[in-house]
Amino acid sequence: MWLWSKGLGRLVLPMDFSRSEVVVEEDRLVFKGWVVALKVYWDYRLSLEEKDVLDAMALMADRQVMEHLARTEGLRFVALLVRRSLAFGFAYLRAELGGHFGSREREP
Amino acid sequence: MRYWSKGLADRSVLNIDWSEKARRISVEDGRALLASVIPSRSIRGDLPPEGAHVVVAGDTQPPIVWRYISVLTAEDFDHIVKLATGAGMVRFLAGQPRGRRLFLRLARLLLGFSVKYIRTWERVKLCPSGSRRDRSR
Repeated sequence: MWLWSKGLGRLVLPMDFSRSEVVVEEDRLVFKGWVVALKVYWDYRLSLEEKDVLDAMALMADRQVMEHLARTEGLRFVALLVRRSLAFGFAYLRAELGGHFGSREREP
Repeated sequence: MRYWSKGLADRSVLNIDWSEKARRISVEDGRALLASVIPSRSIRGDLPPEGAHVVVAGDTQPPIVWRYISVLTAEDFDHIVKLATGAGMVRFLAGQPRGRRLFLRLARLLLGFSVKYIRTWERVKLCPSGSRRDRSR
């Protein structure tokens, strides 16, 4: 992703999400990484709350975005999405059940 | 979402709202768009390759209100999906008091998206010119 904002002047920031570190801080999901460009080596942090996660999903479901992805990525993208979603669902359930049974085990 | 990088120094954070009311989406040549905003000879940093990209633009939210443009490639959406379904998100949901509710909402959205995506893919594959015509309206 490339980000430009008025305050950055002539600088366009390239951001590589694949290399970002993901941490959870209180009620926020935080991505930390580096912006590497000509004479620029800056650390960045992008923090999201619940609403931002849902907004990002809504962005992906926009008609224009979906058409663009369907045209450029084809079924590969939905295959990735389904595969990752299933793994995500199982991982979350395992974390939930693990936490549930773990907390019961700790009870006196 | 809140973005901070070293270059912003003590200017707090950029508060970027990707909700429907606060952003505009288009599919266009992101490189050409950036070049139209910044004189190309003086652009610092790498630019996206030529071709169609998803462009999300709008104004950042207070305290600093600046116009912003973000250019996303199809590869970025792969990374977004990987991050949204990765271990970090699992930890985030598991630690949230309303995590279970958000998980169910996300699961519903992902399922709905997958179905909608396949329908879109069929439409684009069967009638590519038709969907382009629709988009230009």
